[in-house]
Amino acid sequence: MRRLSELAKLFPTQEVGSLSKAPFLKKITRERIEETKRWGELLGVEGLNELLNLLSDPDKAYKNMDKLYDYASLFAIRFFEKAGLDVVWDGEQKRIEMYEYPLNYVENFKFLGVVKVWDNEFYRKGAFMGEPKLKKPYHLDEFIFVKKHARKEVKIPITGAYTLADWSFDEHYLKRYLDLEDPIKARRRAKEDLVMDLAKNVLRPNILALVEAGAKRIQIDEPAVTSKPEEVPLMVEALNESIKGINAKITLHVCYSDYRMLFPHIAEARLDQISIECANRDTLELGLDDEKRKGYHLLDYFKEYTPWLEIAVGVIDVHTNFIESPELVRDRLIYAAKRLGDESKIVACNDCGLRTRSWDIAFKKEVNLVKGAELARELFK
Amino acid sequence: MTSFHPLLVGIHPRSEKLIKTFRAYSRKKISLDELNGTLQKESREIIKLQLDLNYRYVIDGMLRWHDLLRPLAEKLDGVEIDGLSRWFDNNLFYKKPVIMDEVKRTDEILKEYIYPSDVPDGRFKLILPDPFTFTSLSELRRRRFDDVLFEVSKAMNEEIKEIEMKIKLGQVQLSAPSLVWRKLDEDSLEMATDAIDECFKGVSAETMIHLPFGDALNSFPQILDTRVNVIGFDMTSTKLRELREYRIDRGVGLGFVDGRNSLIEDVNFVRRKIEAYLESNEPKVIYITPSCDLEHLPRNVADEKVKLLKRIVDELEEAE
Repeated sequence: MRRLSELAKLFPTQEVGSLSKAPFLKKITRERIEETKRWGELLGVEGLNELLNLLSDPDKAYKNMDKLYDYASLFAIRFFEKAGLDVVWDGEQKRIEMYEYPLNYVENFKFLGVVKVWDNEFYRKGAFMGEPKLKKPYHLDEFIFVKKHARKEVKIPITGAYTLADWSFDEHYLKRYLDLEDPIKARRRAKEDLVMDLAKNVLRPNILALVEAGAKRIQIDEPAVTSKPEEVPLMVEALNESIKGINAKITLHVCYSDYRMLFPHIAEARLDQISIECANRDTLELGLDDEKRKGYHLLDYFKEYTPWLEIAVGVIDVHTNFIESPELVRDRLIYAAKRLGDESKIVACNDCGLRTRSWDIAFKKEVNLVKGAELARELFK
Repeated sequence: MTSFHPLLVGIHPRSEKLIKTFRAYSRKKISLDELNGTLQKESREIIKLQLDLNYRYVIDGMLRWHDLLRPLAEKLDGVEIDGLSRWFDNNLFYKKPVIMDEVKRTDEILKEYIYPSDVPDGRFKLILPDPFTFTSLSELRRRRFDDVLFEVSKAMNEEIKEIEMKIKLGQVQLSAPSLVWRKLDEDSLEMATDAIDECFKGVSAETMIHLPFGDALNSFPQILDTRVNVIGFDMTSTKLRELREYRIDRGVGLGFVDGRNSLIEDVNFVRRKIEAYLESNEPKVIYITPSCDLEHLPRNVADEKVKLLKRIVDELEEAE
């Protein structure tokens, strides 16, 4: 009952997904053991002495990586809980990243090598060689562990079908359409087949397994969706297929995008909540006037097209070390509520995952996210 | 009688070894000399791959280029570099140039970026962004678009001509995705083609404009007014039947080999497409190209496509 009342309050707080890896998941050094001790004590992590004992013999620790990953997950859960968030996850401590990890569990998919994302940043990219099938549900062990240990409501992030397809090569479906005169149409139809098969054969059974294991909140991440605006309807169709018959609260997370591209199609998505990045495009000044809160003007589109949706607005910029003050968080939330015209639909959130920030910076940001939401709530009392 | 040649049109992917070398350099674990040594060696491998396959013109892989705009953005006066922006509809990002002031070339731009010494005289291929693409992908601070466009064209022209004074270039290509990505208005297209001509003024090498990531017809008919020797098309984004309706009185590059997908195309499938093009056009030369840069592929797949282009040429020559 406590959890329900917490979530019924205005401006509930939640994170988006990732957190940089726990200190002991990197090469174990004396400094990192000290850092582990400091965080473990601050967060009140249970079993800290056992972990420190394990880390004191790095060779032994490296042979027990599963145990280290479990501890990392526990540290991250306590990290968000200690900051005071209402909805938490484990900072994706057990995941490599959002693309490669799920595709390890997909049949007829083959990793081919690395490709550039920018400058000297690369990711391991692969191709669909046949119809994708789920080998076994992924994220399930991860979810069961988090559910067992979390003291707050849990939301599990999962990469959407459209993004998995968009970031991959296709060596199977395209062959079906090579005879079409229009190569763009051929590619589009092949992609439609691939995305929908991924939604039906991979995403949906995986989400179903998570829900059967007790997941109440699912966040579907679709960072690729606005790169091809004409394919937004395809993402929406795939999302609906992925969650068909699923009884859980569904969030869609899309960041660093031109959100105008989502409209009007996003209104067809069977969503409860959308999580968007706003702080990155906002100013750092306090205040409620339009100029200062320019990062939140895009809420007009949601007000017009999807007034029923909860909007998890990013009030924390995850790409800077600037610590947003509680007052700045407050002003952003109040303004967002005003702009949307319904304070009950605003959720206080980060722009995106915190994986690029140090734990010290991330923790300060999260603490102020919670404090800022409390200040905003006070004003609506 | 048409002759056929395989030809590359953009940045080649880095090997995993080179990626590690760049990382080691950025972490200050190796010196600039060591990075340059690896770059030289790996460029040589890409050059050798093409020479062994008897490519007429040869690129060095552009392995130092973080993105197509970067050397200009780094070296031109009046230009600074900002954050990441999406490279058309790809999961690939470039750093946006910001035009702060008059754009001027005060020093050599490409000296540290090209490795022509291992390429026989007259066969090195140089690639640059077309001035319209560079300008339209930049942020203009209080500067007029057309002013910047022609300042960039002039700077590029100076650079190409200075390189030609030192090296006998085989071909110079301008990559112009912005001309086909969306349909531009007539005035913009005319301005873009004027800028291309300005860029190539007095250049001795064969000149080429390449149009990746979009329907070539978005740039028609204005693109046909440029004085370039070759126009290259992305045939994964252009309908062959529509392209065939235009009489193009110069060399063409036909990119049926997808630079953005790992599927290795069937040689006969591509041959039939080229033959269909030849039913209504008979250019002196057809370059068999990828649709775009191969940097969207893992290195081993890209190298496989380099060989595929040659196999297609062999098949076409045999059929003739």
